[in-house]
Order: sequence, then C-alpha cells, then structure tokens
Amino acid sequence: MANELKQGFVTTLVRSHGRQLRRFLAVRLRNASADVPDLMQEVFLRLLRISNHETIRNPQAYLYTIASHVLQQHALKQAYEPSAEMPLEIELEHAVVADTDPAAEAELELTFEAIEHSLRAISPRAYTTLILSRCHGLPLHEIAAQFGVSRGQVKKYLAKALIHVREHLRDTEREVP
Amino acid sequence: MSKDSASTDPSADILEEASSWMIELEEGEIDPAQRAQFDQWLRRSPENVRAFLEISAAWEESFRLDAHGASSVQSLIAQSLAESNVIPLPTAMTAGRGHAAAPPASPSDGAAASESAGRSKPRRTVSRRAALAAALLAAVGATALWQTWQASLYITGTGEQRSIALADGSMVQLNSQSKLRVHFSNTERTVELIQGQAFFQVNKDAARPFVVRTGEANVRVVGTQFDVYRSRGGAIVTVVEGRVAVSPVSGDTEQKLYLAAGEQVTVGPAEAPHPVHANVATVTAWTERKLVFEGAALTQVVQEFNRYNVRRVVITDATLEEVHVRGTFAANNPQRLVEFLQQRFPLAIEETQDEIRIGLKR
Repeated sequence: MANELKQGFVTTLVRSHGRQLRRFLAVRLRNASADVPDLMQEVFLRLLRISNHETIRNPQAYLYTIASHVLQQHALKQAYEPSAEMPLEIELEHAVVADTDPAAEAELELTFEAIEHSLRAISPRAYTTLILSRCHGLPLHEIAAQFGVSRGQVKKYLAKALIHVREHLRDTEREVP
Repeated sequence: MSKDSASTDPSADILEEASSWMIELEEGEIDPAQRAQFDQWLRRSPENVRAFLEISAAWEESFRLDAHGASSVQSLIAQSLAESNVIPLPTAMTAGRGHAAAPPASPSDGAAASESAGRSKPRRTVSRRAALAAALLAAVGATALWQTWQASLYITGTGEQRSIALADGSMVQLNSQSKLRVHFSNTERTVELIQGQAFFQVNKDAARPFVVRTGEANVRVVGTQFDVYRSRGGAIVTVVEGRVAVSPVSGDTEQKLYLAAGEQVTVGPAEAPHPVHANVATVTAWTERKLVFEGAALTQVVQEFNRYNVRRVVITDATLEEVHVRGTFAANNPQRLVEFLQQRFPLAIEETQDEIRIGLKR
C-alpha cells in the first residue's frame, strides 16, 4: 500500500514537473548539458528513497530543493571549489523563469522536425500512433480499431515511436557543447 | 554515440519495458497489483529509473509533432494505411464496420508483417492500380470509422462554445478551446475532458453513474450540475447543485472528496486538494459569454480574454501587470477591456492584425 502511494507520488512528479525540471537543470548546466540525464536520474532516485512522502505539503518545492542539492554536489564534484555561478539557494521563481528558454525551444522544434521525417520513413504506423495518442488523445484500443490490428500491436508501434524520439532527444543533448 | 554511451545508456530491453509502463500509466489502465509491480521494477535498478524518465520526456515533448498540424485523425489514418504498401482489404472492412474489438488474428498479423517487410526495404513492386485501390479502400474505411469516432469527440475553436445533448438527456456546455470525448456503456457514463472547460447538467441514473475524467481527477456523480476547468494549475471542479465525489488520479485512489453545492476544489500537483467556497455565478459566467473578475491580476485577465479571441491581447509594459481588475466583460470583446484600462491609465495602444498590444505612454 505504501509502495503504491509512493509510486503514484513519483510518477505524478515525473508527469507534472519532468519537463520543467529538465529545463531547470539544463539552464544551470550550460556547459555540460550532457549531464542533465544523470542529474534527473539522481533527483528521482532520491525521491524514491523518501519513506514519508505523504507528509510533503508542497511536492514542487520539495522537488526543486532536492534538485538544487544534487546540482551543488555535482558542482563540487566537477571542481575543487564550487563555481561562483552555481546558486546555493534556489527559489521557485527561478524554476518558472527557466522554463522558457527561446533558444532551447527553437532547437527542440528543429529536433522534432527531424524526428517527424525519420520516424515516418521508418514506420508510418509508429508515427501515426504517436500523434493520435499524444496529440489527439485517442486511447490505444481506438487506434487499434482504426488500423484493424490488436491493442498489443498498437502498443508496440507506440513504444517504437517513443524509443525513436528518446534516441533523438538524447543525441541533441549530447551535441550541445 | 559518444564513448561513454555504453556505460550510461539503458539497454533496448529496458527501454521497451519503460515504454510499456509509460504507455499503460498514460492510458490509466493499471490496477493496484500492477502498480506494485511497477514500483518494484523502478526500484530494481537506477537504469530503469533513467529509462522511465527518458521515455516520459519523449512522450511529454512529442506534443510538438502536431505543432504545425491541422492534420486530422482521418487524414493521418488514411495516409499511414496507404504508406504501408499493402492492400489492407480485410483490415479496412473491419474498420469500416466500426468494430472496436480486436479483429481476427490473421489479417492484422499480415498487415503488421508486411509493414516490417516494407520497413527493412521499401518495396515499390505493387502496381499503381493496386496501390490506388489500397489508398481508396483505406480512405473509405477510415472515413466510416472517423464518423463513428467523431460522433463522440467534441472540439471547440477559439471563441467557439457548444451545447451538446448527450444520449441520456444530460447537457454539456463546452467552452472555448476545449476538447471532450464521450463514452457511454451499460454500466457507466464516462466523458473525458481532454482540454479546456465544460459545464455539466446531468440527468439522474443511479444504475449508471456519470464520471468526468481529467488527467488530475475523476469526478463522479449521480445527477447534478457542476463545472470542470482544466486550468494550468490543475483541474478545478465547482458544484452548482447536488453533490459530487472527486477522486484525485494520483496517489491514494481510495481518497474521495465530497463536494456540495457552492463548493470548489482544485486538484493539481502543487498541494493537497481541499474544498473552498466559490462564487458559483462567477465560475459559470462563461456559459453566458461573460467574464467576471473580482480583483484578478491583469495578466490573468488577459489570459482569459485570449481563450476566446483569435486576436490576442498582449501587455508590453511590466508595470501594468500589477494592475488588478474588477468588473464584468463580454468575453468576445477585448475592446471593452482596452477602454476600461484607458479610463484609468495613459495607454499607448498598438493594434496589428493578430494582436492588441497595450503599454504605457512614454
């Protein structure tokens, strides 16, 4: 039961703040954005370790507190002295501002144009399934009915599409100097 | 890609497992036993956590795929069926009759197998006539299905509102920029508010509860009137008449909040939901295309106007953002807001085809 609750707690945070947290970390790791996935992982591993999460009144603030600790430790690991730019205290307002970085947005748009082309070439059905599911909100069984295949098959299309998108996103993160 | 990729990248198997969990969680078809399994899976290794985060990120960001897109469901289906280079005859027929159940195994397996064959090496051996026939059939099948599907999906554009009479006699009023899907069965009347805001007047049917699903919360009623708004801060449920049960989707699924008339609750990620008293007239003013503000910040006021009007209002001067507004406006007339502000501040108004830009005179 407690595990169930905790799973809900962490999944909800991924859902609601995953993107924002990624931006938050990326903005503060300008010269090392390839480290973002490592730090994301660390933040959520720490969340999983919390046993009494139901006492947390403001999960968002909690998430960013953990994130800022992880950032500090990362900075300490990178240099003998912590960088002057690395904030020791991070307030929630900063996280909100960090969410909109026009340069990063533009880059993501370009990445997704490339994804659209490559995914369509590899598997039109995987591409269509992703759009119908993500952008049009169709449940899998409805997409299955449209294609005339089983739900399991559509789930495979969608998994394939997600893995493809994830590959591109990771490559983009690594390309940044 | 880079040298360290082997040590930090989750394996293909783990990525597939992560995708499978992500998809089932997103579809909301997970029972407590599976939830426990998922929890165990996450704890098994940091690699699993990483894969789940990365796949979640892929899902989150993929909304961009349709960014330019006026791509309709219909055209997407027809296109991808045609692109798969097979004659989907049995498939299209099945789809055309609108059966939601899984079709017989053989045609579907055939279609899937042909697709993977086409994937490894695109085949162009199908004659043009056959290809044309396939595309046509696919389009016909997709159109028929699209119509049955569309019958249950309601979308409003900017400034558009719709009243929908449901099969059981209940009424839904759908606000601007909203999306609603209806699934009725013998045991439950379910509607999904995918985006935006809706006001429900539900006919009593004790045998078939009426459930409104949003990403954040499920609202369960027998017969009543209430409003659901998927705002940026979460799902806002306001009860006008009767009682409803609100259960947040995350966390403890047993938890239920009972709301009476005049009560409101916001279910979002920020804090634990707790009912407050609400001004029902203000919340439902939109059904009369009115916007009522009781000391709301100008940024929020502008946001509300922009839900209803293609021509957007933009505040160019930060000092104006602190202004608070009290008053009632016609939702589709932002000009009234401009006049309201002009009476109080020395404004510089710049009007373009797409925007009304409001700043202070220098």
